[in-house]
Amino acid sequence: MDKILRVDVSGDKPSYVEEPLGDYAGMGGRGLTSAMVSKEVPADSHPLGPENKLVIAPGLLSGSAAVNAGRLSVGCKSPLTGGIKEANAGGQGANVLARLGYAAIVLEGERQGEELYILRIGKKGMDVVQDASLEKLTNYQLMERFHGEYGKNGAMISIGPAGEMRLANSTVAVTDMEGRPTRHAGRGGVGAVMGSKGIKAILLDGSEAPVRRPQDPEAFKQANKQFAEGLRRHPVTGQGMAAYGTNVLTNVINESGAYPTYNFRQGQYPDAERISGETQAELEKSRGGKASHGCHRGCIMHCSGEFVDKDGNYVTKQPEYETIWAHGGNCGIGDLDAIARMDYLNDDFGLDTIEMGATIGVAMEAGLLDFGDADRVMELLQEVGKGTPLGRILGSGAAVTAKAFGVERAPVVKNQAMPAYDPRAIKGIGVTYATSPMGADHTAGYAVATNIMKVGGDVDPLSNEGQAALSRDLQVATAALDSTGMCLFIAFAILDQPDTFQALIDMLNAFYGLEMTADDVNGLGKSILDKERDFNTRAGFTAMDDRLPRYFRREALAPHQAVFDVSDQELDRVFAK
Amino acid sequence: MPNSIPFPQSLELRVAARMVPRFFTLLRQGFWIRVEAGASLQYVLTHFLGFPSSVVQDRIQTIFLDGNAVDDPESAYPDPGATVALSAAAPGLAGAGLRKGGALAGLRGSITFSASPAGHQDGAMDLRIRLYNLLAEEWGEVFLTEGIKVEAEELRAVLADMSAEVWAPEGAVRVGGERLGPEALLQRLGELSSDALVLLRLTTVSG
Repeated sequence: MDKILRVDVSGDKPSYVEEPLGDYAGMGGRGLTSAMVSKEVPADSHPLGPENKLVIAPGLLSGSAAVNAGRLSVGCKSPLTGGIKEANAGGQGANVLARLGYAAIVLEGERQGEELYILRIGKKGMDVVQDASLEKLTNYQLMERFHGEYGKNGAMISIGPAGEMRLANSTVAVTDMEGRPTRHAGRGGVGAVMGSKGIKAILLDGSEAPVRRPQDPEAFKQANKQFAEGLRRHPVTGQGMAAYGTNVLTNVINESGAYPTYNFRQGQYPDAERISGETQAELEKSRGGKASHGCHRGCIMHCSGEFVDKDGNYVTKQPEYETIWAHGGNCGIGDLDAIARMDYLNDDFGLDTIEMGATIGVAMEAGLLDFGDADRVMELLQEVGKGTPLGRILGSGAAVTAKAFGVERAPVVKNQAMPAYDPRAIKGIGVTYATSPMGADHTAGYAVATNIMKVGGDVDPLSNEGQAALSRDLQVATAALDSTGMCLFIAFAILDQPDTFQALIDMLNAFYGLEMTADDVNGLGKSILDKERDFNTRAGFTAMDDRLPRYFRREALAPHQAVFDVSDQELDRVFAK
Repeated sequence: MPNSIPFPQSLELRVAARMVPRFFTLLRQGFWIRVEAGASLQYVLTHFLGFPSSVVQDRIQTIFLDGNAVDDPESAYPDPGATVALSAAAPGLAGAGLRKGGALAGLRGSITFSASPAGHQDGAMDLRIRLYNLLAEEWGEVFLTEGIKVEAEELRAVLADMSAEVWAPEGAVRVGGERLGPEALLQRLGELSSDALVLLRLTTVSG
């Protein structure tokens, strides 16, 4: 992983050059994407213009024998938020790309015409092919076309029609172990930037690509073993995730009154049990589906699965908690089969399920359809995929849809839709929604080793001041974690088990021949966030962008009758120097 | 707490052991127990629900009392009719934040249960208990075979959704001393007021 592949789409046909890491040595994942975007993309450029770049980067440990290190970061200036963006995905892409030796693929330059291209990348280099027949193919249609090429040893990174149409809600899809396009760098419209470069798919051939070798193999082996044992013995990473997936949260968050329902109008959904993780797992098992499955080779948590219909036929991968909330409780749809079909369409067209579900919720609020009308939702998703005028509005996200239909209640920050936790009930998450440079994002401030990294500092965590400090330090820790290629779900084990966190640092040190400490990891996270916030400042963002919509302060959320009352001063203090 | 209308003695269902998990939805929707008025939540969990202290300490990672996250069950005193929900460790930032006594408890300060002194109450009170995820998986059969009190309408809805295989062997539904078929049982449940309580007890047969 010692080179960068730059693909310039400016000429008659995309050309490419390989170059050494240079100033980017030692960076990976989000650390690398944000460094490159921050340095190389003019902050005032248009996200779909020639100055923007799409950076696709595996994490620092991707492609090695490290468990759960298969996250792929995709960075650019976001068409949805207008700020810097890092979206990441599981699947096979990160490991294959890293084993091919690439720290990053950069798509850059000004596309000529409307031609679409396939990039084939393997041990013998890269090949570029123009193919007009690719137009408007969905991700699953691309899978059918190319599975024979990448299915055994490789991966496909692709965009569906949404990316081709350069919709602000469009993803970059990454194939899973079965070669299905089920894993998505979902947030922020990164697919639109890939579409703006005219690259429809990147086919990675991992044949003869060796597992990356650490500098100190024995120390790495020991650290990886200890890390894996830590994941296995933790009740979340070792048991809960495999049994129910992330959707185990539905009943828990609903019980807490923080489950956004009917476009964030109330905090509990009466039919939550019908779409809960427990019900989902029982349904999948009774139908012969897989209720426990990894999204990439080397995963030992197995939080995913396969959702099958009543006849045992594959419908989609096991939908995540966020997806089931977005199309479920948020839209008043208590039907797992309907939600699974929506998940499939999102994957097929290349749409972020959180943004799409939130957008449909806004459309329901606007009276375009009724809450609970699953059939109409399916029709609207088809409109997005086809690119009808209405579909293009919906595919531009919740904020644009709210403007188009004259609705105030758009649950967005920096134009990005909030995920499945109401910030009035869990205010600490609201602080992160408001202040993350990514826009409203539930993964921006995660649970990482508070005891080791002194997350929260020395202030009272129950005070407003404490919430600001907690949010800041969690965002710092998450930025660092996002650079390793590690699945964010390892956070639970390293939160509770200091030896597991130390094992992760030991792995990085053994792999790269370093002597990093927890403080160094903290420093890495801070430097990433500093770059991201600096980019956003140069792009015109101010403190006023670090705010939740006013109605979250005005409208009390049942059942706790809570409002978001963290002051603007406290929000501004999160990243105050 | 709904009024308990005496459904003839109890409802006993014979089901194949492998079908028991189909009834866990009743545990997640909630069942009622009668406890000493004024008891602490810790006392309710260990003495009335019978969880070992180690389970309360380690396995039960998230506790809600009427939707408020509880950090210390020793100092939480449920009011009559309260809902107590129990979960194993849950993922996500929110999951971590909702855990009892967790380092991230500050994230959900406004919905944290505020401890209050024990009230001086006599007699008994009823609480609604919900068991989620791994707790239902690990303890569900114990509760279901010992018997749980559930609302008749919720039980009827759950049974109506169950496939025929759950009901085998035919005629193995016992209401008091009377044997009923599935349709007759659903009809009887439907005749009760919606908030009436039924004592449900499962007996398992191999298979």
